[in-house]
Amino acid sequence: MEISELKAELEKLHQTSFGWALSCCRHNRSEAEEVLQTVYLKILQGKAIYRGESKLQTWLFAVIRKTAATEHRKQVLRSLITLGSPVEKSSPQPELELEWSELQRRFRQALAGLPTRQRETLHLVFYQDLSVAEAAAVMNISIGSARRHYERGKKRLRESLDREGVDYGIQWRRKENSGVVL
Amino acid sequence: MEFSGDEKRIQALFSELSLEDQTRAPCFEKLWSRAEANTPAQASLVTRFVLVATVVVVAMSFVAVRSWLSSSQSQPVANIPAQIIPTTAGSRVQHSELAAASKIVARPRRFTRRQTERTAITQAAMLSNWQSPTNILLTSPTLSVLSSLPQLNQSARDLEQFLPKKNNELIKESKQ
Repeated sequence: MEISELKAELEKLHQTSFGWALSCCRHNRSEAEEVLQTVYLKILQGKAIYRGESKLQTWLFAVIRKTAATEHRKQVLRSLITLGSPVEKSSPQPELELEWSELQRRFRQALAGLPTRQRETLHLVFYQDLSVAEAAAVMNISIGSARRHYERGKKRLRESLDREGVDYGIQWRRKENSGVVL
Repeated sequence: MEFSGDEKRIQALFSELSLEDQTRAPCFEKLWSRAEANTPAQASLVTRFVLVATVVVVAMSFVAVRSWLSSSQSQPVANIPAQIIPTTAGSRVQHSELAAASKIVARPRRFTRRQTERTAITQAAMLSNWQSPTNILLTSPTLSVLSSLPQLNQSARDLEQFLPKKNNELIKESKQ
């Protein structure tokens, strides 16, 4: 695929890619931006090459996930080398938290409480509208494992939301979002 | 993917999250141009060219040295004419030695240069000792006469018999 052609495709996927990068970086915007930029750099340098073996989105998401993991590892290593202090946990900016609704805040908290694999699977299936098999390809795990993460994550998220007292069904209906069918 | 019940509700929450994220997403062009600015495209091209050129030069010089070495090693073998190898009984041993030596020289280039030189010296020695198979035909009964020379302390008269006879003496003899 030519680089100009690839650029056009990447532009189409940019919004969803950023959403996935945010998820991989625990909703830290600056980190997600940096990761996405690094991914584009890798593509430009030819370090990440799309060979058409899977969907472009699946491939791109796998690259983003790997890059985010590498960046996180680098951060941990840097902090160990410099001061020996523990790594600051990535968290969303406080000014953003103020803008979120109560429902959103609780939902994000419930998501953050999930194990990484479960959170990633749920994100890929519900947010990115991928199948479980595609999610498995992005995460480089078997379909069986992905399905297990999906089921467990769903159960845990439901429990967590119930515990928080979020009647997400009712509250969601109040929102004027015509795109979602309940 | 089809959802039902709780799944639809979870999806609704994720949709809201997605809408929120999309409003805060950075511009694609901004990130792409920043990535392009960080790409050392020219430098990498030059580095690649230099690397390729270096590899080609090294490979060519290696091939040249190898070919020069092999040609210098094979010269002694080329100088030995195959048709002069003797077939007489006396020289059969020499022939077999020569053949063995030739085999050694003709083997692949794993042998050292020293071994090749030693073989060449052996071959040269064998060639200098070689005798023709028709050498026996050169021997005759008068060989002892031909091979003997008059001694310097013999009398002049004795020496005269070895000199060629003059024309007038020949005429005298014929008259007698």
